[in-house]
Amino acid sequence: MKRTSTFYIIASLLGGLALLFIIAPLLGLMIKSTWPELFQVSQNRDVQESIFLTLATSMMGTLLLAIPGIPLAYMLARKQFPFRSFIIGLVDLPVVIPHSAAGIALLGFLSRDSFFGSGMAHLGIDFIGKPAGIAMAMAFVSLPFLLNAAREGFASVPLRLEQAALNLGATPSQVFFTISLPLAWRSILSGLIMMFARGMSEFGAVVIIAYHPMTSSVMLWEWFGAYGLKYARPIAVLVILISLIFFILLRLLSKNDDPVSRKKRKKKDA
Amino acid sequence: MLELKNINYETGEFNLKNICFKVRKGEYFVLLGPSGAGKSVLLELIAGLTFADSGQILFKEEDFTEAPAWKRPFGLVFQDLALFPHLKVFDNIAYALKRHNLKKEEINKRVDELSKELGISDLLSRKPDSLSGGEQQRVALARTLALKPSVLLLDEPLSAVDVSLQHELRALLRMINRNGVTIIHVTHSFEEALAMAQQVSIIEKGSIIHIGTTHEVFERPKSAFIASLSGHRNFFKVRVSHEPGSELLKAETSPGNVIFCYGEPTITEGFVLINHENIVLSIEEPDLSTRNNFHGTITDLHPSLHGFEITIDTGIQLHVQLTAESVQKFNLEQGSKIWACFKASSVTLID
Repeated sequence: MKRTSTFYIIASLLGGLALLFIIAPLLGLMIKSTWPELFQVSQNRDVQESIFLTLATSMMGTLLLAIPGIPLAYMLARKQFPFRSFIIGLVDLPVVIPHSAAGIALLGFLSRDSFFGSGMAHLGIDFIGKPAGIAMAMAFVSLPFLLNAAREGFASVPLRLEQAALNLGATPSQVFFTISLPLAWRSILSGLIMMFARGMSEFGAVVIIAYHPMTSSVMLWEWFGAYGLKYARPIAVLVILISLIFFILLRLLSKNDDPVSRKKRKKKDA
Repeated sequence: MLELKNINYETGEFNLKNICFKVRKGEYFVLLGPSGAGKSVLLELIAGLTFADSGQILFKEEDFTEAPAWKRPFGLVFQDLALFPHLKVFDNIAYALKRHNLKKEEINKRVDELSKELGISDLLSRKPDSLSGGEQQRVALARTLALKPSVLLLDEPLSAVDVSLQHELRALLRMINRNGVTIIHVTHSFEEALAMAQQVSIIEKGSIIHIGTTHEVFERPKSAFIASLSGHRNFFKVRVSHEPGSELLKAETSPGNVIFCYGEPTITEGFVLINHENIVLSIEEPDLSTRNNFHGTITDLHPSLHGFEITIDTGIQLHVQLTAESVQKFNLEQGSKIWACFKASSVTLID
């Protein structure tokens, strides 16, 4: 009896093409870069500063927005309220709009001419051309990754467990911190990493808020424009390698959530 | 002690209508009803996990209708137990105690006491998913009892465990009740209600249709559900009229289908109950003194514990138990024509 369907063979071949489309350019980039080139670029002070700035601003934006973002995700997962569906859709908006347009919108909001920008300026916080502005631009475009992951995480916690905790005398805030958050932490953490990684790679919104100081994406763009492909390539490899570290971390965290691999593991255990 | 007054609650699936009952201190109160009757929702209303559209929940004269769940003195053990999977057994039991800022020594002492009482002392360092069904049930009970709730609410507590464990858990629940804990126990199992209840309340389609002792409720059932639970399958809703010039009453199950019986002449509507042991079967038209003689067709015939159970359609569906020998002797099968006869005095009329 034939065990493999023709459909699976065709699907595998087509899937292989899609995979090749992702791998080939990255692999080509790696192959064309030499170790001495990479070493040289990594020793460049401007490059080091820009990578550090990118990591720091993305981290700052992620942590800052996590404070209101996680409660919002919880409310969206648990409560019925007017415009809930609309808000769930709205959350995804930053992903679909052109990021340069998002940058323009943010510029209007964060500049000293705006109510918010001038208010913050009075507190000594400037955004335009500053790391704080870069963090905001990164957070704006990457917040949906955290919100969606956290919302799914909270939604997967059985409501019964929260009800049981309420019945045992826990207040809603105690239920959140002792039941919902510990049980949804894996999803929230993977959302945080996704947000951080996506923020790091942001170019469009960041370049409008702050060309200087330069994040790695902006620097890559500038080097490509000023010196050409040969000089831009090693920095591209460096940035990809750093992103890869976070990508692997994310996969390790979300490994248990994949139903296919879970099924396989269960079989193995049995 | 605990009183529910005219509770009404509407969801898309079903409604609870005008629910009223009182539970006395130290009582073992069983709410019995079929699946989907609204039993679990009623417990959630008492626990404050959902709120009634109207009505009152009073406890020791105090109104708890609008009180949030965490301020109510009622501990609920869920049907699916809802043990916290990320916490060890110790922390599950200690959960309520920690929320009330008890000292560590007090928490340890209370968990120790409870775990000994419920026989789970050796499980304290384990996670819930490594426990058997019976062990999980005990942990859920211990967790709810930790705060010494005034009323313990149990949602189908024996449904998830096998028969041998059910016996053990029943003894445990009786012990908890003997120690002074008032219990409201929700179940769809007649045996469970019979074994546990001091008072039983029958809930069907969102309404309470009968409250009383098990003897009162099951001897004179007020619904087909209870009648079938207590083994009475020949139970019919009837309109009652007088047979002129006689003490006999005519109980009509549907137009033209009349059962003769005796009873209070004031009854106009009610139920009749015919014990299958009083039904006599015959192939030929019988020459008997029985007032109820029906000719019908066997529509179902299947093996039962004591032989066969047959259903005869005479316009009324009558259920009769027969021995295998009788079935063989009369050569009975589906479609056979047969007479079913019983005395008017063997029919119980319930208003």
